[in-house]
Amino acid sequence: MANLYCLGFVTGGLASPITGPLVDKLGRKKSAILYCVLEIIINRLEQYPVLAGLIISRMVGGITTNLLSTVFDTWLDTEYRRRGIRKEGGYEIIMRDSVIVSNLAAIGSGYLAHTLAEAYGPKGPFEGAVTCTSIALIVIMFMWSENYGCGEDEVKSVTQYMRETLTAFQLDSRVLKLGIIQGMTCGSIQIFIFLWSPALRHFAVSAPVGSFGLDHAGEPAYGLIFGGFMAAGVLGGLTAPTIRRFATSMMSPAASNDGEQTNEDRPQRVEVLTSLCYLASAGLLLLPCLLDGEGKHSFSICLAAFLFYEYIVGLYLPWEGVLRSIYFPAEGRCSILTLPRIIVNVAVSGGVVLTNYMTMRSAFSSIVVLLLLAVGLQWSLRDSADKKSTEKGTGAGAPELTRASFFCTTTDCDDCSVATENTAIIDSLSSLDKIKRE
Amino acid sequence: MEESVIADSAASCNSNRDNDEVSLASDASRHTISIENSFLKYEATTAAATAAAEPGEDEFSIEECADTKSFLSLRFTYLIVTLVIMLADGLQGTANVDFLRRAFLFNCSSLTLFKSNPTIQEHTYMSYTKDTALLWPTFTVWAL
Repeated sequence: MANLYCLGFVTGGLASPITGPLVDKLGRKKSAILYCVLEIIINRLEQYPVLAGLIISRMVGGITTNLLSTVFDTWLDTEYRRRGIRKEGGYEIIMRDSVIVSNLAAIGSGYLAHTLAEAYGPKGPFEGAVTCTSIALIVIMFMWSENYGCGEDEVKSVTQYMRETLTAFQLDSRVLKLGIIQGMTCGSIQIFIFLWSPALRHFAVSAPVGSFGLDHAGEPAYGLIFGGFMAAGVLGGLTAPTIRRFATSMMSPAASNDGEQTNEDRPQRVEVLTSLCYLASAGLLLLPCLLDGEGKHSFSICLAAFLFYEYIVGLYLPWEGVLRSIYFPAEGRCSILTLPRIIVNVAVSGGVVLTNYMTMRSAFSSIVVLLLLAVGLQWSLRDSADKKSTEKGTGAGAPELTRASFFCTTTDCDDCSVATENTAIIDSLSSLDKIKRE
Repeated sequence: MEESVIADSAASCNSNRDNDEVSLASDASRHTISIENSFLKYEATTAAATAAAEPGEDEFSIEECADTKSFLSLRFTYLIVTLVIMLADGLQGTANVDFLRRAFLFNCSSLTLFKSNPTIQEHTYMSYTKDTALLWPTFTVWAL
């Protein structure tokens, strides 16, 4: 299974440089439809006892994983901007809901898989997957509108998208930094998914019978623990906005020239919060390396650390979405998102293969190293954001891209044509209202 | 002047009740029209003054309404797709693939690209199915 797991990631890594530009060119809605069609084919293919079918499905699965992590996110971002929604914190709310829904779906899918397997045999879960994907396909076809990686009048080739992505990385190092950071954190989650069960099994050997998280046979209760992880993620997603508001009130914002400052000027220092989350995650995942393998309480401590780590993941995932929206330019976002996925795929493939040669402690140490690198890069991102804004004399402490891209969807901004258009629409609507009144 | 008008009215009232009624009705309608005009003028003036004093207030209702509607529809369409996609993703997870392959008496480790590995996911799935009774606390959280 480790090798199959790798096969998908290697294929995904090889395909990632081309996937993003293709999605930007083809359109996000069409790409989402393509994702659904490919998933239906994969799930059908896996139901036949053919080795080639399994290999092909895993390879295509690597590509669809790339699509899953980019298409839906970029569609949402572009659609949010296109509609000119001005609701304060609206994007973060959707990101938070997305994390909650994903975690709940993960819990639900475990139970559903079990029920379907009992009712229809081992093919049941795959038939269920086909049904779910078909529902998604119908919703996307009839309820989503199309958007592209460029303006509606522009036509760009795939190579042009790739060239522009590389130029974006060259022009603004923060875009590249953020791509690498999020690539590393995503990679660390994927490696953790592969490592948590053997780690807990290792510590369960010396744990006293009846410890929380152990079943009657003294084995970790994987189903319960997995459900607990997902519930912790949901809790993280639910508390993320509150914690962000609290942290903003605690961190006094830098004074602006006119002495006044709003949250629109300073996006509640989401860079600082995410770097703190990465640091906490590194600390928590360091515990399995430090704990005594024969300690009585090692299992419980390790389980608590993993649960808390999942909570933190639930916290920072919506903030990562906000950061992507702040720093990544609206055009060609999919191309920008998929290139750093090479790092994810290489990290995961390498990490999983190394589990054959490395001890569990070394594997966890590699995750810690990835997360600490992410902390450093994220902190430098914050510094560069402050420096740039100080140079501009705004004193807002927010990157200028913030004003130009994300917050234009929520506030009036002279820097962005989208916001100007939105303001014009709203002005004309209110004029219409006045005329109606008179 | 007013007295003469009143006297005229009284005289006409005395002379012809019908004519008087018509006259009074006509006065009343003029008065009503005048009040309506004044009220409309007053309303228009007040609206203009309010708009001048608080320029964002009138815009707010329309803007907020359209914005909320657009936001909610986007949120719904995105989240419903996320939900079903993630359910499908979970249903075709590695553990389920392995379970299916074993049902076909097919050994996944024959796909050796690097080296055979202990089937961690297999172990996870077997325990997972075994622990279904323990899933209820999780679903209580989910239901909440």
